[in-house]
Amino acid sequence: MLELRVAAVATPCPGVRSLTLTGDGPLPSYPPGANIGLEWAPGRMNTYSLTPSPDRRDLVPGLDPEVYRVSVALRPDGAGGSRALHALAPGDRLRATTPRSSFPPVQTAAHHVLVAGGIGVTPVLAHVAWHAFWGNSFEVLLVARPAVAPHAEDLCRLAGDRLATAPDRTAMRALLERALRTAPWNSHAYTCGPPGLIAEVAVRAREAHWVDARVHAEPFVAAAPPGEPFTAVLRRTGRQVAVGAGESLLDALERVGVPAPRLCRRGVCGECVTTVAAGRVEHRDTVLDDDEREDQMALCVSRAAGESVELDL
Amino acid sequence: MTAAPDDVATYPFPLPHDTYRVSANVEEAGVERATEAGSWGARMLHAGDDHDAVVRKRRAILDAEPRRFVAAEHAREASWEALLWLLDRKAREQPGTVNLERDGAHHRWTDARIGVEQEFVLGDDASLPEHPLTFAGSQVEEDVVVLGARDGRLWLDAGLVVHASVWSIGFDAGMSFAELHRPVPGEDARRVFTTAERFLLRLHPGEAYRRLNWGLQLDDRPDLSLDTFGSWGARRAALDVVDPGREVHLRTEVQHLVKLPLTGSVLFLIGVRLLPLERVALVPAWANRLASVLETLTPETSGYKELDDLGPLAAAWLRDHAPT
Repeated sequence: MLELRVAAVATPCPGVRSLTLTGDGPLPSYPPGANIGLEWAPGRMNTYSLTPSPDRRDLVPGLDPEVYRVSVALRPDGAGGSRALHALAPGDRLRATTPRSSFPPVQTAAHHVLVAGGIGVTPVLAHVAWHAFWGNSFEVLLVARPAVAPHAEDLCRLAGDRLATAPDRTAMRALLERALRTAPWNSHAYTCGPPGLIAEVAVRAREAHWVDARVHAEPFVAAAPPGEPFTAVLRRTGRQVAVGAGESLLDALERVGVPAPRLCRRGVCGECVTTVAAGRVEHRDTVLDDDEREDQMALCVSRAAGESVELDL
Repeated sequence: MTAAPDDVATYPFPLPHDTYRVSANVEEAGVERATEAGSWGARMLHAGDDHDAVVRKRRAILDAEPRRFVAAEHAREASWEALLWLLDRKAREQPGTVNLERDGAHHRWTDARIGVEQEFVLGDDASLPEHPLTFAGSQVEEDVVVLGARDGRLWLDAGLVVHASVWSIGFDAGMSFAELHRPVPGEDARRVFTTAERFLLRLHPGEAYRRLNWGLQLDDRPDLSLDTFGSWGARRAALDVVDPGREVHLRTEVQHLVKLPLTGSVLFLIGVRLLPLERVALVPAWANRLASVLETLTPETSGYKELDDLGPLAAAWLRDHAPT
């Protein structure tokens, strides 16, 4: 874990707070699209994409950074993480994980089509800074309503005329059509934004004969869709934990005081992967492969497929 | 026991048990490990008394056979990152004689021990006299391989390998991790490498691990690349050994695996350490374990490591000469 200090706060647009965080000396390097987990209450982590400084274009983005920058969209009805982070002031301290790669560029791509909506602009900004430094071929499509788009200016400075902005989803569809049907062979597309935008890109890409392996997405909506209630049986103690329809297995375990390692809470990091002793599982993660799913599950997003699941906990 | 000579005292003896099987056996890098004769492992890059000579010989092999270096075009960013990681690491491990100064993207590299001074601008290909990975691989004793991470798999994207042990970087270029390890026999080994690949893909940015591999060979030449098989293959088969204590060498490979933090590629370093049996025998515990391992190898592993004949020969010599 890193011990960070808030060096500066800013409000790039209504509802979004940007935090500049420092440590003792240079911080660990990070790849484009990486995130860090910020501890907003004891044991409670939210992950946020790291965005490099748009001011130092001569430096390799992400290398031995002096500061970490994150932008936090306020979710008034969320679990409290964004509210707590919006309340931070310069000088406040908080703990953070080291950077995790979750949404990297594909090194073999001939061209990168980056699509962003809302606060999803943050990892895309990191990709753009990377490609601009290395001279890679890229273009950016941004859904942004004037005055409420965070980092639109930073993006404009880094991407220049390779940025196209659409005020709404209909206009974005036209931009997507053109980009996906004119991009060179072996281009890759990356979308960060709300689920609707991600789905839109996936559909348009498939129509334009893109294979799925060249279409990447990072959803920023953390909450897993609810499911049926079930019972988790903890094999080591025989204890039974009821998991409600609206909560995750991980949340239920935390609620009753059973510690489980966890980080991203959206099935990508693999920290909470646990051995399943019995019971069928509805897998909702993106970290386990088919072999691993035979006897493991990600507690944060996956659920019992029946009435119960028995865990090696 | 009195203090062992330096090559023995710092030798990464690879066999912790009396039997051996293929395993992923990875552990955290940079951690000093005690042996019966001393310790090794605090540094990731080896630099013994003969450092300058080793670096020069490596360069001579490459200059004579440029095919010992390969790099896909898409490995450019990872190659630059590998260069930076290696120079930075060496400067940290040998302060005073090795130095990397940085001013923004501008770097000045000085290595007094091997007599190199070079300025370059990170990411500017024209600022170096050669490919960044060629330059990087010419500053260290280790062979250097860059494995790119794509589609949930690792791929051999680039490398400078002059000390291969019965493989060829030119032949392996572009292969997947599974393809690279296909010669290792047995279903268990296959599972080991599937697990190892998954482990490497999941490393967090900047994490570094290491593992040891080992074998026996008939002389002290570290270059057993298939590129030059014609110059050593016949002797190896003839097993024409007069003095096993001096001629037969334990070959230990110190393999480091670094998740490069910017590109997510895995930097794979292979350092070769050769020790003749007569020096292995200076440490009775090593001689006994090596003999025991050689006597109990499975036929598959023995065949893969080409120890069907050399193994018993070495074990018999060790049993005769190791002080008990």
